Amino acid sequence: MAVTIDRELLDHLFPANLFLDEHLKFSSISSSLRKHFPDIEVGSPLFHHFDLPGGNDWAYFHAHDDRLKIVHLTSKCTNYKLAGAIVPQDGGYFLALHHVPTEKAFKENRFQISEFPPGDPRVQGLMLINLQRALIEESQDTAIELAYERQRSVELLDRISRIAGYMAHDFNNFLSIIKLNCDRLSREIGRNERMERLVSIIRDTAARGSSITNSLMKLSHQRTDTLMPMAIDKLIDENTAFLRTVVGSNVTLSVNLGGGDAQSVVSHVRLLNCLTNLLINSRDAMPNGGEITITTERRMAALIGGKNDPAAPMREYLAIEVADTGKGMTSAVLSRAFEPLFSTKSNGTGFGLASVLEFAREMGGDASVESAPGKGARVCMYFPTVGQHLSRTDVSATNFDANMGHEKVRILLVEDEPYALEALMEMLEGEGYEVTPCETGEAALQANERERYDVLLTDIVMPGQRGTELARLACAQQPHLSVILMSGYVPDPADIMPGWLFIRKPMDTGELLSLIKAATPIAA
Amino acid sequence: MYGMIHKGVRQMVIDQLGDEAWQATERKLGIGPTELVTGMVYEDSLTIEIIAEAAARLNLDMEDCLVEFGRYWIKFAERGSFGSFMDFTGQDFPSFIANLDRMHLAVATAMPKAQVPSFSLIKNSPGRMEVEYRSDRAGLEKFVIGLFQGLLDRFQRQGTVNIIGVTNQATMFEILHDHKD
Repeated sequence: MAVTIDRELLDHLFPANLFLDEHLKFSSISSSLRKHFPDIEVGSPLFHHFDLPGGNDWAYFHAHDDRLKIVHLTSKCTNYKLAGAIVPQDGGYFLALHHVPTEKAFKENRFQISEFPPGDPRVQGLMLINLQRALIEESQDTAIELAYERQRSVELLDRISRIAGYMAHDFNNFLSIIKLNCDRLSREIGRNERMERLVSIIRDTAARGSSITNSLMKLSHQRTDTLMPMAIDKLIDENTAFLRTVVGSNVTLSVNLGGGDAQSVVSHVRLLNCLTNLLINSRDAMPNGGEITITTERRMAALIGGKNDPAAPMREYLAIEVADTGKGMTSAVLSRAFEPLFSTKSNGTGFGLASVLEFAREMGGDASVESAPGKGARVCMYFPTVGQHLSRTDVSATNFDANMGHEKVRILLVEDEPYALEALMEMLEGEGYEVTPCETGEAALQANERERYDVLLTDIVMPGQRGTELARLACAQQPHLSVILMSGYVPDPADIMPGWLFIRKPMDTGELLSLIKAATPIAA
Repeated sequence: MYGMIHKGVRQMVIDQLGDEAWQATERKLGIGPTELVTGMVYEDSLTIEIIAEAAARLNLDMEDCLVEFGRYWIKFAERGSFGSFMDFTGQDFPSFIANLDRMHLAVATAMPKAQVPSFSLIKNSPGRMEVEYRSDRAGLEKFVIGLFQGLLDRFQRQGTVNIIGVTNQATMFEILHDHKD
């Protein structure tokens, strides 16, 4: 049965088609092929434009064969390929071809769907490949956007954090002025219960404000602890129950506190963190149980690198030793025990012992470790004791007289807030100290150059020179000078020299006086 | 709908009102880049919410915004990663319309959760086309008008798009254009 189809339908069914005469010259080509091969003219030979894979064999076309002949044509000018079937016609050939597109050709927009026969699976394949490529490009863009957004969020959080920090600092300064002046009022009004009540309300409200600033400081990721002289034995004693929970029921924890009331300037939060880290290390070294002993004692030592060294000045330390009966360490492990990121535990971070050493050194002390395989480990932290003159009294005692039997203790007071400066000066003078008030670090340095002082009591955040910088310069001028820093911010430990004290605003008058007493050996 | 729709709305708002306007939109709707992932399927309600907010910012009612967005969508698709797709679908207006279903078939294969519409070129006479539109989604006829207008723009045609018949299953569009073929 013969079917006649018109040119339009032919082009629809075989968009890439062409007719050749008996001499294999073009007699017509479809519009799709015309688009890709505009140079082909009717009458020009096929083999001027295309090659057959096995050589341009005329016989291939002319040989009589009942089977459908497949043909592959490659353009001589480009790498363009066509494939399809040869259908003999009266006195010539009809080539029902299709494009063999490359991805490159697709990307260069050389084709459109209409150039492929209906139902041609190549269309679907091509579109899928390119759709996937487009989706990958989109994914890359999205990844970049997400990374940018994340960065933006981090920066926003950082800004909020900094603003919270500034607010807390400024608010603490104002609260400090309120509290100091409440104390002044209390002293002025004497025994007037009604007025005392009013002062008490103001003081309590300021204390509540202080708890808000604490929250703000936590939001701004600032530390909120202080650097106060403290009796470490007392701290450990108060936290023994907690420390026992750290080691678990499988391990016996013994605590032998021999430090008495010796005081060291430490951050109690970080000291507890260190003890916790050490206990966890010891516990993990004894999976089948064992014993851990915490021992404290006063030790005279001249420490350098955790060892006695005659080159170092001899002084008293409060030593905290954590010893276990675990598996111990080989000499190779021991030599790297304080190394950051080094850990023998599969889930260890390598920060535990490293942070212990870092903390002890920041506090002006040191740390050491001894161990041997099968003989457990013994880690010792050393913290310089302060106010040895106070060792038999409580620094918080209030019966201290700053000039009793001695020359007056001389305080160089630096505070850029005039109301705070005034209140502090009055309070300190009322306590018997000789006070030189300065509103700037520069003025304080000039005064320090002229006069001898026992204590530098300085704000940290001030216009011009920061309190920590001032303290360094002032100590260079007068090495005996005791330093007490005060601020609404808790300073970076790296900015604080060992032995310096720190009190956070808003200050408690009693706490400040205790610090000054701890800092002045004249009280001995 | 797929996140690429959301990206299209975003770009339209940015192109017309600036980056700040889109950031304000994101803040109001509580969305961000995670709601703009091209290959991710989101609830249609979120897409409608985004378009409604864009409409409010562009001072358009929802229907006009859908037309505007449909028209914009063509530009957005042709200049992005899907540009070669658009070219492949058709390099003249009638071919493009005629091949829309084949393009959507490929999209549906690669993105199986896409509820792609169907377009059938029912009549194609010089200067006039009738296209039947079917979709599982209701209420997007104005968007389709915008799409056809966008295609007229793409192929440098002047024309109008009208709805000439609506049944439960399909909507018939008439596209009158200055014939160039």
